[in-house]
Amino acid sequence: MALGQRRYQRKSFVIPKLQITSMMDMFTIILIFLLFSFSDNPEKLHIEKGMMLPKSTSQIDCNKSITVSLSPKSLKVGNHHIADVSQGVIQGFDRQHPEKSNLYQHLMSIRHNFETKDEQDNSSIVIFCDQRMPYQTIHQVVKTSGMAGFPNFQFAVLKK
Amino acid sequence: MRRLGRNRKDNDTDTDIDMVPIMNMFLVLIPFLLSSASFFDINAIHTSVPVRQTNVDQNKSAASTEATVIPVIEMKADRIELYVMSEQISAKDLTKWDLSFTKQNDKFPLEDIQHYLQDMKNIYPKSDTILVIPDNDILYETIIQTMDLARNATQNQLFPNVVLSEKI
Repeated sequence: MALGQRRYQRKSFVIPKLQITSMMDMFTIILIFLLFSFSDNPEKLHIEKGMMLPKSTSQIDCNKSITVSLSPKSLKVGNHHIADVSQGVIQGFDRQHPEKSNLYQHLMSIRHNFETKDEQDNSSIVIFCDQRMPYQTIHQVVKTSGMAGFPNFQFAVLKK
Repeated sequence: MRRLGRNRKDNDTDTDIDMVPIMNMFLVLIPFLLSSASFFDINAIHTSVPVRQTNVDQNKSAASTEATVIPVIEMKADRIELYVMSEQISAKDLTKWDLSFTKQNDKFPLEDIQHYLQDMKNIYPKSDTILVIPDNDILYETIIQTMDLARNATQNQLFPNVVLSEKI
């Protein structure tokens, strides 16, 4: 009798339902956020660790062709290490003779490649520079680039 | 009566939407959007270094009837000096634009400089080039701020062509 009662009281097994409403909410929020930050031309930039780009009101897009990166520790053209930078001074750079510098030699080789490929060269150099760098150092890079045949520049900045 | 009640009970079955296809779609969309999302919005300021002027350019500027000027911003450690260069305006008129703004509370009075440039743009609307000459110790961030104010005012564009140079 007692056994019969117990069997009567046992409830039938119900498959537990997974509550996915909250997960759907989360996914919807993420989806909307990602849709707003969607870019049809995502930039793959390698910015030096610790580099702080200045903020600007400029609305012009960055046309990435030749990148020069000037961080407090190093000077690079693309991924190619050119020189070390220490306390705002490019090591091994002679201000009187910029044409002897590694930067000039490297930019000239790029320019030579442009000429041999017979490409229409309207490209300007994009300079990624730390906001704490003094003008003296930037001017060395700018002047050398101008001498190597790249007088037009773009300063990369973060949107304000 | 009893039959009616039974029918209603049969129709009250759960009508859950099948969320599995929606979840699948989300799982495909989110990695795709993550890979193409840009979290840093990097823009650019176009500038150049001074280049030798050709004869063609000189003739072109001489043919222009409306006078153009090139304002010069010289950034010193403690002040900003402003003056104007032009081949079409007399030296007496050019000296009217000579002005110096000293640093206040360790900051340059950028708004005053912008008003100065705005006045100049109103008088010489064809002018579109500005020369910025920073001292060696001026930080890049300060130069960018100055270039920003030289290019744009709150309402209109001032001098979109910014040329960086050094004191000769």
